[in-house]
Amino acid sequence: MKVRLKPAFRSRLLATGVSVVAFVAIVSGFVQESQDLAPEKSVKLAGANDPLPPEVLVTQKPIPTVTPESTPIASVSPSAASSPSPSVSSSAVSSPSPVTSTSPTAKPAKSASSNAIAPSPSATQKPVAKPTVAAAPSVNPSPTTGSGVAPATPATPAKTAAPEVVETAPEPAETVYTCMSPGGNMREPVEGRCLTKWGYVLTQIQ
Amino acid sequence: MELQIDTPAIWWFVSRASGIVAWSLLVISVMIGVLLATRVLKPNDNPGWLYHFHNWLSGLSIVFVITHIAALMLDSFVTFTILDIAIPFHSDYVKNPSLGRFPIAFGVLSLYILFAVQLTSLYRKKMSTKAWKTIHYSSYLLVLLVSAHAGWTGTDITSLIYRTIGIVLIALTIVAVIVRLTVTRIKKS
Repeated sequence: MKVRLKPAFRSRLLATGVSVVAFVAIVSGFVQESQDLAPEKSVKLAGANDPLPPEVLVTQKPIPTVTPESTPIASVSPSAASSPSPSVSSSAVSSPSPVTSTSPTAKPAKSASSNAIAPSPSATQKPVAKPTVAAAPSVNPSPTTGSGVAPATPATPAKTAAPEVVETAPEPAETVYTCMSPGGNMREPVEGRCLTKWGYVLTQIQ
Repeated sequence: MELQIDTPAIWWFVSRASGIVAWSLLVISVMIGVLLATRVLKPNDNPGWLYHFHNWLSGLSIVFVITHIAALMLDSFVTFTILDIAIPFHSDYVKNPSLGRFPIAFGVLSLYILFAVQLTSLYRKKMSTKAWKTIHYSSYLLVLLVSAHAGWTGTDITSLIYRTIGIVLIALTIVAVIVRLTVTRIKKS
């Protein structure tokens, strides 16, 4: 049986169909566009804000050299008096695994730098912290300011190690990404992605 | 590549898409209305078909306008409240600082004009022809406001396709207005 539609009804049906198809096509286009933009940009961002890998921290290197050979407690003890928490320093020195000294280093950057005033405990605590930028200044005090630490035999590797931190650490921190709209407005990325709603695109600003 | 419909911005996409479709339907509806009023295609036109198609497109545009507004309210990225949609200049959404709240206000005003034109058309027989015509003429203002709303508020202004669609729609509106004005003047003379 052949269904014959009235011309008026046919044209209405056609108009409705075209409108709905256009609507769905546009929505699909927007979704596709947002999926095309977001993933590749988020990959770039993922590297930018991640903490540095542990091997970059030079402070891990001196510890095995310091602790097994000479117990630097004798040389450290004067400086340990100046440190606010001597218990931390003793435990840290006795055990090579520096995980025990977590409490003062819970906040990586700030606490590490504050401990750096006391030379020896800071040297043992630093590996625990995952500081990005503050790692470098915290290492330097141990060989330079703490003259009492200097007699310890492995002080020299620490000296050579310190410049490495200064060179390696700042590089990843320089790359800063933000979400920038065509009009120049900036917005913080959310979960490593830019909402493409207003045309925000992940942009490297530094 | 599969489309992820559960993207958090889906309501925003729905709102934008329905706005574009509603704008297109309004312009086409105005064009058909002009063809009906001027009869420039006579004797090759069908006034009955034009009339019903004009009404149908207007109704369809209202459906998409409602979708546009509902999606805006469901969207969580930019909050549009009932007051933002009902009261001109209430929304603090500003796309272009130099234009301030005008683009959104144009959209709100367009909404009122659209409903006024539709309601008066539904109850045309219960009102005077002069009053109906006066309100119906505001559909030209409606298309103008919608074009300004779409052009100045639209997120997709940077998109080439969107610009092309916008230019075509505005050009069609201008042609329709010119035809309307010139044919009416010729008929009067």
